[in-house]
Amino acid sequence: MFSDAWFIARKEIQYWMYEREVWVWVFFMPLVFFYFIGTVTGGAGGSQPDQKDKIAVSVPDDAGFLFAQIRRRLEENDLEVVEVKDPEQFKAYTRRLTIPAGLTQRVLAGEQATLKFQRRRSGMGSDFDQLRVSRAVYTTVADLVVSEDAGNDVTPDSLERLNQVPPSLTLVVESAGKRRAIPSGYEQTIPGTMVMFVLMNVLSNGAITLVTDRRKGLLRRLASTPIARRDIFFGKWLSRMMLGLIQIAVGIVAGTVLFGMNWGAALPMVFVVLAAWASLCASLGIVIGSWGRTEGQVAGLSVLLSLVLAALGGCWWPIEITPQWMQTLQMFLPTGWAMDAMHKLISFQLDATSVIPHVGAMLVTTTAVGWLGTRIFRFA
Amino acid sequence: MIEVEGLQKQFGDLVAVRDASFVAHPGKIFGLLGPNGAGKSTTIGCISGLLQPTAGHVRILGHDVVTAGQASRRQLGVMPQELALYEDLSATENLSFWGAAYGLRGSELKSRAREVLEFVALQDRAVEPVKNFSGGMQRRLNYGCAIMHRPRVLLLDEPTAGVDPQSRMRLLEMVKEQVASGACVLYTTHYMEEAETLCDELAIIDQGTLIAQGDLAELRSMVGQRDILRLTGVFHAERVRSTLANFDGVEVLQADEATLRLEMREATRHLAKLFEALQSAEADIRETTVTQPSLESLFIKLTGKEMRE
Ligand SMILES: Nc1ncnc2c1ncn2[C@@H]1O[C@H](COP(=O)(O)OP(=O)(O)OP(=O)(O)O)[C@@H](O)[C@H]1O
Ligand SMILES: [Mg+2]
Repeated sequence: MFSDAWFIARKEIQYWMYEREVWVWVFFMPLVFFYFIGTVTGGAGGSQPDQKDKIAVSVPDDAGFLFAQIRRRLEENDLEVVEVKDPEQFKAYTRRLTIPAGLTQRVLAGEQATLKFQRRRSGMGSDFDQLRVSRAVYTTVADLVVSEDAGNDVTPDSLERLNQVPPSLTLVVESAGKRRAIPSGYEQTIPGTMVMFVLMNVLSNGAITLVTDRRKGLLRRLASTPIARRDIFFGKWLSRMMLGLIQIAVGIVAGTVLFGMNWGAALPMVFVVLAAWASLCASLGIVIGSWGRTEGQVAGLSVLLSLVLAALGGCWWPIEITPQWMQTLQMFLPTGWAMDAMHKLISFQLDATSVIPHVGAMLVTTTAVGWLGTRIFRFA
Repeated sequence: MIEVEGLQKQFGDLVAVRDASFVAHPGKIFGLLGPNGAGKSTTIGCISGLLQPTAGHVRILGHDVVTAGQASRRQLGVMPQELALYEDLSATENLSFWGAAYGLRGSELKSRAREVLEFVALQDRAVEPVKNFSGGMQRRLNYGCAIMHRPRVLLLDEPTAGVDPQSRMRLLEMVKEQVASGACVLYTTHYMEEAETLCDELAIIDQGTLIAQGDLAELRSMVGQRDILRLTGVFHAERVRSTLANFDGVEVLQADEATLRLEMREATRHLAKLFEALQSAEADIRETTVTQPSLESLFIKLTGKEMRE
């Protein structure tokens, strides 16, 4: 009966909550990881989606109307343009763009004009910044070419008319709405950390407790009670699943409240993906716990497996920056499915249906691994 | 009531229990006495439904443990040989867990846990983690967990192994109280004295086989009035046999180059004459043990060895 399984699961969760290590690893460490790795890979605030990245622009008084066009294009690239006159203040910004004197005059006269882009950070986030600034400038150049091709003089009016016409090819890519940028900062770290911690906590606690229960004769004793064996098995699976759900809840709440995480358009589906992931981890925890003979053995295997799967599956860094073979390998790893689904929903803002295959794959694997678990589950 | 009929349990080639049959009655303690590895825990495992019998049947109050597993397990309280307790939890939490596993809930569970806690004399340590308890206290709690649901049939697997005398006394008292209230108890042990003082009926098990069973009087009569004499040294087996054939009232149970086992009435009174006879057979005697009629001597008589070797 379900009530027996629920009794076993509830008690096991309760006993886990008596242990300090469980609190440290489920409630505290993930937040530490969110903060440190999120800050290192993206910069705090640097890529919070609802807050635009600022770019300081030093604009000479005679820059002319072309600057207005560049500004427009920068803003289209999700940059908030701040005009700064004071050189000291200007230096305080991490992204800085210097517009040369007489920009419009020089460009229209066919002279070369150089815009200077400076950034203080290096790494993924800053490559993305450079990409966005370059894109804004090239688009402006394209605007000029289009305007002249049409036989018009370039004037504020001609540019304005151009801005009204349906987007050119370049602009179509720009305005597709779905960001295809490499996930960075918290968008990468929070899902990555959650996927890894669900795996590690469910696997290690799940496997170690099973070995301990067996070694102490608790499973044998349970088997001599009227509780059916399949309920004992299901209860053990359920407690692991619940531990995973607790971990997920901690991640979602802390991610939202402490780190202002934007979960994309389909938060319920984010939860479904993570729950499917937890169920797979629960089955795996039972298998490892049934296979192993000592706590040390299963603890070692659980942690090793978690770290390797996390690294190869893209929990630690965006899979896009890894070599092709790793990206291919990721498609065969459950961590890879989970991470890909998370990115689709969170970074690329795709809708819920886009990750149905991922959820399906995880549930099928949960069942297959769970079936293996029922075969090798031992009471003594 | 426990009915065991032609029970057999094999682990691969090893036959851990061979064709065992016995009946344990309500209000009585049935002892299963045997040395390490005899098959006591295996028998208990088959009765509690933990192990699937290779052959034979076990019924608890009429419920077959294989075909009506849950119904039979509902009647059972099992105290395993190992301390199957949650060590990080308190005594109360342990009692509650096992009580709930047998279906007790709510206020009934609470009041029963308090009652049992007092019964096993642990009320002063109710909220302390069990890992701080002494071995004897843990055993008592282990027993308490088995009786939470007031089972009508109780399986106790070596409940007093490694327990201090005081806890042992308390445990035995508790078992007797349980029996007085009508429970049927199966009690395994390798302590002869315990089996003799506690059990109403007994079966002796060795290497998986029940070699004798009955009540104490029946078992004693199997030994007869005779002592068992065990001599070690260097012997010529054939000469010893022929010499002793003429010695009145001696039965040779075993004779080889290193050991002689003899059975005779009032052995101590005849020792001098016996040694004389053996010396004439060129026996070199190093050590002599006389065992008076008891379960011990019955065991020796039946198996050729002492229970604790
Ligand atoms: N799961 C098992 N697999 C293989 N052999 C087993 C298993 N359980 C018990 N045995 C063997 O069966 C025999 C009987 O063991 P059992 O535990 O029943 O003895 P016991 O009488 O309870 O001994 P003790 O007094 O040491 O507890 C032993 O030889 C033991 O090694
Ligand atoms: Mg045993």
